[in-house]
Amino acid sequence: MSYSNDELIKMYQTMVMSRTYDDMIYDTAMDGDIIGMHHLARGEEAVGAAVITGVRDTDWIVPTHRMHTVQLGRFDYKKFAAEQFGMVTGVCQGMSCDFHVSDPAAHMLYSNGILGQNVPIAAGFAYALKLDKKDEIVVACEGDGAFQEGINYEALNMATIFELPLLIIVDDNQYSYSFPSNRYKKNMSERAAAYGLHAVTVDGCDMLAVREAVDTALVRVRKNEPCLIECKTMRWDGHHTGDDQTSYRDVSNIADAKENNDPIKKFERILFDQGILTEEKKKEIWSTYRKMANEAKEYAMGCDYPTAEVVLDPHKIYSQPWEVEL
Amino acid sequence: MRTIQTVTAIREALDEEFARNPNTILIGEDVGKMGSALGTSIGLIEKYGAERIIDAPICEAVHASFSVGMAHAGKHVVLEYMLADFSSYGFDGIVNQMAKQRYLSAGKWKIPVTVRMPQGAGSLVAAHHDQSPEGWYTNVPGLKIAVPTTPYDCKGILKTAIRGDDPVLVFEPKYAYGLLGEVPDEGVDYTVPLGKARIVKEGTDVSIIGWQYALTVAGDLAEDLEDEGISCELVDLVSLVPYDQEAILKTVKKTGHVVVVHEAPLRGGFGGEIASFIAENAFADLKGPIVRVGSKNCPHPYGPAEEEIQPSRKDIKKAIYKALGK
Repeated sequence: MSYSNDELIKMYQTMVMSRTYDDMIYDTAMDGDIIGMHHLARGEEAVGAAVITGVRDTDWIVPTHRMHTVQLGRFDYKKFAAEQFGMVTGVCQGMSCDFHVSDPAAHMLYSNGILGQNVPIAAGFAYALKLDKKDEIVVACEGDGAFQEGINYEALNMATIFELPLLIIVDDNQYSYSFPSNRYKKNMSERAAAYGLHAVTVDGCDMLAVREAVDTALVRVRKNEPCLIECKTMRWDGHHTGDDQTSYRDVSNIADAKENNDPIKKFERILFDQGILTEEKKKEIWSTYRKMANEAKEYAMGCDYPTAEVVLDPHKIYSQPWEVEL
Repeated sequence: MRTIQTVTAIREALDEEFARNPNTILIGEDVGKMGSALGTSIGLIEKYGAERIIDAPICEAVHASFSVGMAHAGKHVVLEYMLADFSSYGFDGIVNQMAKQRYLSAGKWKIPVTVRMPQGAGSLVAAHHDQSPEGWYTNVPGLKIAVPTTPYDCKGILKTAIRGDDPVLVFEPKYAYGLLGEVPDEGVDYTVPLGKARIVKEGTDVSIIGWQYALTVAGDLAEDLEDEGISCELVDLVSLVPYDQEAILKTVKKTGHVVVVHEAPLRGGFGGEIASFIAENAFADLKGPIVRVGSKNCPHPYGPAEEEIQPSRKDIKKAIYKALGK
């Protein structure tokens, strides 16, 4: 595979955009200035970056609950931030936060509050796309935890029986809340292969490796050969902001990962070596995205939460609600 | 008008809606080549093809999610669970996915999935084949639920469900599949709305509100009670979510005595909702206690002994006497 300098910089920028966004969310959460639980992707950015830079704009994506690379790539940055803050100006009027957010206009399906439903719903969607000869495919992402749900395996079966245009990405960041993935006896890719999918396992912290795997898979997927890519990463933060991991995890190896296995730092070294990135350009990119994150935070914090009228709107519950009169 | 069996009426509804809207899909076990275990889709795969009449493997969990996915992509999906009992595998797909994803997206998605489920006893096949699980789902905002009794209502309400854009659970009266009833002539397109009850028989002394098997038993009994000088008004609710509050209040005002009957177990059954509604809103019209009849709070055994569980003429007569203060 070969990528132009612009494409490489785009991959780098995508990761930086996500990292600076997550930094902002983390700091804001620690300051107590944002409600709710937030799922950060720090250390895992290459996986989502490969997806969002590899697909066409018309392809459909189901992100994981952490994939800010993908979500920021498809939604307006400020509207997405507002959504994460729970504000009525958000993509879904504050009803969904980041982990349920979706928009058919952006060809974005939602990550699911019920783990394990990303792939099954995506499978049905892919079936319909194929039936309608849309020439659009679906990339459905799940973490290692969600991928233990049995319904995924039913979906793998459906994918190969019905030859679906479906790419499944499993981001194995080693922990599903507190359950370590090293307890599983078989790789996710082996399981998928057992159902007949083309499946590989790649180093999820290697930007180019993941991107190449995605590109290779998409060629097959566009010919209705479903594929699965298992990406090995490491979760740096807790499952969500406020999760103190020390009760279930040896956190002493995280510092080493941050230095030696940071997908952004690793990719930087390649880009510097090739003369594609300079110190100046790097500074410019980071400061641009930090600024974007801070401006989005300011914007979001100045917005309002949805009112009761917005929240209790029967047209949100049903396409055809009924009137109850007494 | 002509007289046909319930199973034929259901098949006609599917055929008519599938001819009318090319974006319809039927998915379930054995619904294609076999025309469904109970015969409700005979002939459809020949007319509409295997891509629209989908024979699915036995994976009832993913059936629901797959249907949700197809619906998001613009298909009007009819999902058949061979028996309502088996819908338990698809519980998440129904209560968490179908019912809620429109809301979480602030109304961006339509989710036109009709889940057809034959329910009720009569086939003598015990606890996992004879249940009436409507009550598992009535407490879930976001769903619509129908319980048609007659061929006319089974056909008409199924057409309404398929045409609409919301998730509708249609619990079909399994015991009545072979029973006859009048429907309009071929070529006459009619629908039955949700939320509208049907007066089966007018009366003056006691209102019997119910649906399907239990109401049919009550109907038989009501004929005999005329000889005792008790005039029963029979109200078929047809639809549980929404249910016809106006019709309920009207009949209570008329007779002042109420018995609510359903085949689902008494404890926690939807009769409780009806009774509470009446107590809260028509207390002044009541001349006696509201009495409910359901099946026993006991699983169905195999064989003819299941009769011990079912709501009987004796049960309903006792309830009517109690309501009338006899």
